[in-house]
Amino acid sequence: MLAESMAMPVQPARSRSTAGDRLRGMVESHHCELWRFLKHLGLSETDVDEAIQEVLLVAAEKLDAILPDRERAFLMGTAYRVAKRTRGRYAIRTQRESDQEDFVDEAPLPDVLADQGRARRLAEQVLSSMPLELRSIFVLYEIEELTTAEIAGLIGIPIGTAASRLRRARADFAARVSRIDARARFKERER
Amino acid sequence: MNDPERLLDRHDSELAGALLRALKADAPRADSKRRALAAAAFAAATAKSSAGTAAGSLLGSAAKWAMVGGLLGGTLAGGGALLERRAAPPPLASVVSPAGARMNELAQSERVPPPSQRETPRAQELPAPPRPAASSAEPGTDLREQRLAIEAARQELSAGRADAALAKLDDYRVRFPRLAFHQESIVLRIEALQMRGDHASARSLGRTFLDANPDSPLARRVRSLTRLP
Repeated sequence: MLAESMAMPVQPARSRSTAGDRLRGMVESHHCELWRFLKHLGLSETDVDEAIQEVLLVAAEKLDAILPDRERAFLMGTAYRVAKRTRGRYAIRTQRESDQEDFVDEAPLPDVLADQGRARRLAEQVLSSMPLELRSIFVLYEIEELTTAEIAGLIGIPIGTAASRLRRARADFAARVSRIDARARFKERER
Repeated sequence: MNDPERLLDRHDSELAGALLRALKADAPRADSKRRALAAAAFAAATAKSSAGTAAGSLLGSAAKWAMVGGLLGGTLAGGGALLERRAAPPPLASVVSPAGARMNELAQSERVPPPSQRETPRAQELPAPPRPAASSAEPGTDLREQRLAIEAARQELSAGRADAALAKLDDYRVRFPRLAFHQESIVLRIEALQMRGDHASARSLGRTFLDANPDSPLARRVRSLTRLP
């Protein structure tokens, strides 16, 4: 009885246009955050597009089981799992590209603060240096503004673990930014 | 359990705030969303038409791989071929528009012409186009086998066996009537040629690929592999 009452409603039939419209609506509503989340997990822009399309395939297969108010959580959770797999698949290429594109921004701190493009590249460097398990939770909480409970459900870990990982992630991020800040200020004094 | 205040609201560090604001402002280009919308149309069409049957499960998986290797890899020929082989599904353009129409348009435009239509020496460097197979397999099985063939080549490459990877790619070309993973196979070939030290052939093939598919999502990967502009 309980199981029956908790079961997801299964719609007997849905037209292609209904499924297509719903998926289209999901893209319209969540594409930007999905893209940003995957990119901040360390995927290249090409890989992000591929990963999003994989996410949509999964969503299409499970469309009837996704509750309307859980679409975002479903997409982000699936994206997280796809990203973990995709990162492995493209690890060599990603490394090669990052070797080519590696840079150290030596600009004075005020320039970084004033230039959003520069700040974004520096932020991505900071994120990419964080372990994936911390980076993902950091991005979901600080950038995508999910709650720890939502993150726990999405990643499939207990809430306490999510909270503890978030603490470590914030400390890790703060320490890295603090080091960059100190180095930049030291260089400014030297100039 | 109370969540901690978000770092952006705490103003602890000017630099941390700037970095977080920059990350929040990060946004995709318009073409990324366009591709996602096309993928959504394709996914909706394939998920629905394969639902509810045992064969549907296999076909769904095959469709996924066709899309991953075709649409995701830059060509929609795989997805297009799959749909054509299905039992009278409606054309994508009639399912959703304009995304579906765009997909069909891309599927048409990305098919490699047969050798007789290729006149430039460069174009002839591209691996031969799909040719008729001796036996016509059931669609889902065919796509599954294509996926496995590509995966086999990829595994050889991952293991550092460039010659074996090239042999697997040659085998892939001759075995299947319609190559759902055609572009992916070319990119793997470029990687294998690079690994073998045949940089000139890799660049030549890369140049041909980019000439034929300048807007393919795989173009960037080809440029990265070959250092071509």
